[in-house]
Amino acid sequence: MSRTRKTPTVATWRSSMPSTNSRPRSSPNAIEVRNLSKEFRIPHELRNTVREHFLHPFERTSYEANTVVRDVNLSIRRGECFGLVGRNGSGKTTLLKLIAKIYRADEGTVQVNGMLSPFIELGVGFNPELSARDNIHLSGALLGLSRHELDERFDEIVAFAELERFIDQRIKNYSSGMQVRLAYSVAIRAPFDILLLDEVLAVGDAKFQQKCIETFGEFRAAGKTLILVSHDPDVIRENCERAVLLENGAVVSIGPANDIVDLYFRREGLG
Amino acid sequence: MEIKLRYGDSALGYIWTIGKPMALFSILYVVFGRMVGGVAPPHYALYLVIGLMLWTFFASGVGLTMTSLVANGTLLRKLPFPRIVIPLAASMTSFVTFGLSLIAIAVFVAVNGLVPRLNWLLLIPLILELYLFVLGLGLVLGVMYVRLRDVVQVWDLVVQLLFFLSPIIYSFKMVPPRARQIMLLNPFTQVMQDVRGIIDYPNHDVIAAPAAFSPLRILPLVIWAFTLALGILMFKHEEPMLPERV
Repeated sequence: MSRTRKTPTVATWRSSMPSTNSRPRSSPNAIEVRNLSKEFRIPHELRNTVREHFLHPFERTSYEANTVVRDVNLSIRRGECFGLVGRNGSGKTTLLKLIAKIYRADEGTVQVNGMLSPFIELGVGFNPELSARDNIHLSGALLGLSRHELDERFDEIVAFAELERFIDQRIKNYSSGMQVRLAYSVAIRAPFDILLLDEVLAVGDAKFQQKCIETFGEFRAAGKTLILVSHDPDVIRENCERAVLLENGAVVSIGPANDIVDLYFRREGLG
Repeated sequence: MEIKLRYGDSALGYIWTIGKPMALFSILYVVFGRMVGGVAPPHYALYLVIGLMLWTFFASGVGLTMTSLVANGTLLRKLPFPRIVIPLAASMTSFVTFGLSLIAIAVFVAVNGLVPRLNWLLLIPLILELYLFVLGLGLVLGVMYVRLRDVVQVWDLVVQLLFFLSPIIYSFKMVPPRARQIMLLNPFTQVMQDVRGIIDYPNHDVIAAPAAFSPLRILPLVIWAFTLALGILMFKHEEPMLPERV
């Protein structure tokens, strides 16, 4: 394995990865979402302390059900790049979290065929008090890398994020762009067939965006499935074959990425 | 698992982990060593250091385990992984810290000229019992803490009360027999007294051997098992909802 390369290709680090081809070949789809719904119950008055319960013991907390994902049906093909488009609060991230099995669905099912690596809400859950080095170990382990694999890929992770100089600094001293670079670098070195990417390009600088887009191409060539959330219409147009437009948690339309982006802009009165 | 430990370790300084209970020990030894004067248990320094080290493990272990879920909320909301890893790592961190404090206990054992005996092997299941009690109680309180943030305040108060309601700094023999029975219901007290009894046998004989089958022997274990089972059940029940509640 070449350590001197600045940008390791998929092939170089994939060769050291355990084979993930043992999955059943029967289903052609990477992800099957059926009648999926999720609601959050928002108490009208948040009562989190005994004092508040004590002050109003007989007043029942009234809840407002906020349906964030509403009866969604989706089939994402293996090897496809699929875009999620919609306003803030339209349910894109919640849908990703349901697919990643972080949230439990209220109704419906999610079937995932293959290993999944999530990059949600700009990160993989770094602890701000720990150094970047420790955070790589922590997140890497939680993403399913063994200690041996981590040691092997550690230099690549740091090199891709271009953070060699700051590796022993605490994450809280990192800029948000640096954090995202590191998080993405860790997420793509975990073993995966499906990559969930929530706004990965939002805060990175131009050069990092360029590098990300290059990795997308490598993943596609390697037959990986990508699910991309982005507010940049060009990113969706140029990388995704198909996309879905979400509004208030419900599917408005699924179709070719170009059409969906156009539809989104028309509906927002921007087209 | 070792990686989680490492993560916990870097948050704590090694020096403080022994330094703090030892500072407390010095103060208590000077103050109470005189006060309890005549009624002080033999080898009082050893008695006190065992009590304090076990207590530190118990109190900080439960505290850390309890708050670990909320403290790692970001992680819970962003990555899918077996959630039990978080309270396990927190309790293991306390356990490793406790392992270091065994050095301090070893020093006092040596100073008192005690020679290890074969039955010291019984210390292993006792320490394991205490660890699982810390984990169980930490899980019960941790799940409650996710829903009700006052739990920490209440626990802080309970810890202070328990410190004085357990024979940590004073001799167990000073306590009336009736109260002793109630105190022994606490698995922590049972473990502490058994550990003292095993290490310094004729001096601190407690309930170790003679009362092997008395209710005093069984009840703390029943409470211990109940706490552990309740903790695991509550955690299993809450697990799928953790990311949206923390």
